[in-house]
Amino acid sequence: MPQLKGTLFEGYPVSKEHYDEVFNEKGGVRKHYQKVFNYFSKLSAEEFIELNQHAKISFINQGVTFAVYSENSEGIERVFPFDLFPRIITAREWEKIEKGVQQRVQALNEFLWDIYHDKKILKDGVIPYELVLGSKFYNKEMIDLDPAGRVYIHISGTDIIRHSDGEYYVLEDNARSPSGVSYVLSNRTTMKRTLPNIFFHYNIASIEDYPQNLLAMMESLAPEGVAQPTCVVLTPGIYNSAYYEHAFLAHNMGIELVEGRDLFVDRNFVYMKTIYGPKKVDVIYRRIDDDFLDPLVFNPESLLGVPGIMGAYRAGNITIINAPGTGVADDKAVYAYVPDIIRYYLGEEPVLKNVQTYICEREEDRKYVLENMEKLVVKPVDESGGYGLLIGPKATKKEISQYREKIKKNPRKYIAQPVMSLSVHPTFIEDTKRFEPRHIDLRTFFLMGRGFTHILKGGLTRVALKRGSLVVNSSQGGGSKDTWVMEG
Amino acid sequence: MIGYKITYHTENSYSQTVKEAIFDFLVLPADDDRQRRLSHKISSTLKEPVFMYKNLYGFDVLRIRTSKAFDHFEFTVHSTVHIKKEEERDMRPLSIKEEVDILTSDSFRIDNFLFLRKTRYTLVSPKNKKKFIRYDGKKHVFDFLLELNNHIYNLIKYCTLSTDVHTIADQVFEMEKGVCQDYSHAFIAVARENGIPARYVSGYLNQGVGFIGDTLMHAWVEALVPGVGWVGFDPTNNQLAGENHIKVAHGEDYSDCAPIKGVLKTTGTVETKYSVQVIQEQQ
Repeated sequence: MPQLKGTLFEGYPVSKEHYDEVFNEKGGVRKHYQKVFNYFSKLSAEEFIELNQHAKISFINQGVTFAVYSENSEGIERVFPFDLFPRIITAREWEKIEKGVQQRVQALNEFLWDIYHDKKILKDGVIPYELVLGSKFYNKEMIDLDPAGRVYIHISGTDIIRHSDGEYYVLEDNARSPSGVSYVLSNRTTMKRTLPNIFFHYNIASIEDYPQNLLAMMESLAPEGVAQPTCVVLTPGIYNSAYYEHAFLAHNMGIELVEGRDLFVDRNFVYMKTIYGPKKVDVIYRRIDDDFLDPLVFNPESLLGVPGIMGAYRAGNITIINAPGTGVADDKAVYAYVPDIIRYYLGEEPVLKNVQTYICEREEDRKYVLENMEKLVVKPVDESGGYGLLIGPKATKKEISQYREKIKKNPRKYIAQPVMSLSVHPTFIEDTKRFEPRHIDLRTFFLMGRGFTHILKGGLTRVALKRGSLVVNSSQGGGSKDTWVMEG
Repeated sequence: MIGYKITYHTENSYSQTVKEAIFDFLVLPADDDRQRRLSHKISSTLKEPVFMYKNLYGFDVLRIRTSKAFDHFEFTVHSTVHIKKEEERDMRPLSIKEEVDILTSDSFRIDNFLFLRKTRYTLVSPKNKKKFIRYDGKKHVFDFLLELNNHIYNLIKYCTLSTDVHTIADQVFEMEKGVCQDYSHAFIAVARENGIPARYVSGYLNQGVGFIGDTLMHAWVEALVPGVGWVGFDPTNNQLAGENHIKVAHGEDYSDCAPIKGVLKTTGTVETKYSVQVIQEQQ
């Protein structure tokens, strides 16, 4: 039993309902956290707050800020809230995460190839075809198109949580330009500047080579016959909330950061306007949505894209990262079928668990859902951003009975999941000047090119800073932690 | 075999100088099993080379890009086409039951989903769906489609003033007025609602023999008849598409077949005109 009295952990409640990453059920410190715990338990609140100040300055010096554009804030640049207590993942746990993420992305990539070509999985009835072909993310421009190296999901950000049973579950597959990796890298830089000594006690996987791997992945996907490809990062521009990340990645890869107006298409090749004249571009890491990519093909109002780029893409003269149309793979309704997708294409059992998902179209599932609605979260499959969902434990009897009728009327529109509890991690709270448990998740980053894969050994651990909150998004008061993966 | 000389001509004037522009023209007659494109000649006042590439469905698109300033441009395509003599096709080779089995099979619906789904242009509200006719599975699909062709022809009054290129099928059923584009979207909406794949076709019409239309491009429909293949229907004229129909392209709806698409850098407005000439070659 560690002595918490008189330390920053005094009064720390070890949860019975949630998995605590640092403390076990008996209140003892988990072995891999022992040294970090010892370090922090020796600090006074004043010392810790001073370290926190150092960390903030480090972020400002690195330029890692974000602006909140609302009427009152006047666009003040803010620091993304950061917690100095790192999240540590053991080598054994990481092995499973890595295997599971890779397996998932590979299966989803096969799935994308199939649904844009032969559609075997649909004809075999593994997934209802209306669900896939009717998805608003199904992009007909991708039909029969062969992307370089058969890769669609070049960069993925699988979101993982740890449930109260101690197991990791995949919450979401982000197959469309997931963001956040710049925070991962600057969190590590800040950590090393603020607490250099602590790193001597741990053998932690390095993540600093991520930009080099990102560039290597891009270069591996050069169009045929291009030996030294020109790669660029395409940003919507300085008003995009992730502009810092776009600039950060381009800078760290040593490649150009461009906007749509810097590029043009001539005879199905893409060129960048430079002071030395046009320069052919071969690989584009775009951070704009499918809809805005090409005003000649998609949204004609788009000023962000490059007119004619889809023609160049169909002709195989440019590689677009991630491929258009990957949104089908991270669709909420398709999520329920990912374990089946893994079995279908890879003939393997899924390594990482899916959150149990009840598909109301299936009679058996529907029966269970209708009888257990007060325990479940029910979601419409075609909505995002939390619209139209019912959180059973928080709903009134009337709401539940109304919702029950909606499901009965249109069962194929709904899925249901048990309420998942995110694990908690000690996080320093400035108001109370001590560590308190806060919910966390983990976004991983996986790269896939032609004969090339790379996983960032770490990730973005997001923290819900409000007590009891499960919302980890930065726009809703979320912060982050450096994430350590132990080696050997 | 019938030969045609076809001319597509467009003239665009801009109130403000255009600094940079890219245009895609989908106006060349298709080169497929039914018709051969023998030659084509392009002239443009933009003095830029014209680049040809294939769109999603394999149709030839002409592209011009310029970064030289202009405030007026003309673009003309001359082409010659041979249409093969229609062979008598048996439109009812399968039994009605076999046709229905095919139409309702998952693999058929998966293979043809693009031409079965609702699009922005082919959407119709429940209220106006009352004007649809239903396929009851008790007659041949081809016979139903003939009936549908007739139904749309009789329901909609030809009128060039009440609709434009943005009009969707729902508005067409509401007003019961329109031009070839509207007849086609209306036909497609009903066919798809009944589970019969249908696609929008753009092209030219030889108007020598008393067809409705004007010196513009024409639009009609192709529907998939089980056991037969794609069959052309022209609901504007209550006919099957035949030797007078010269196809340019097909797609889900008008948005896949727009004859001209452009992205330009200018702040002003545009005045655009175009005309079409179809001349049947002397035998």
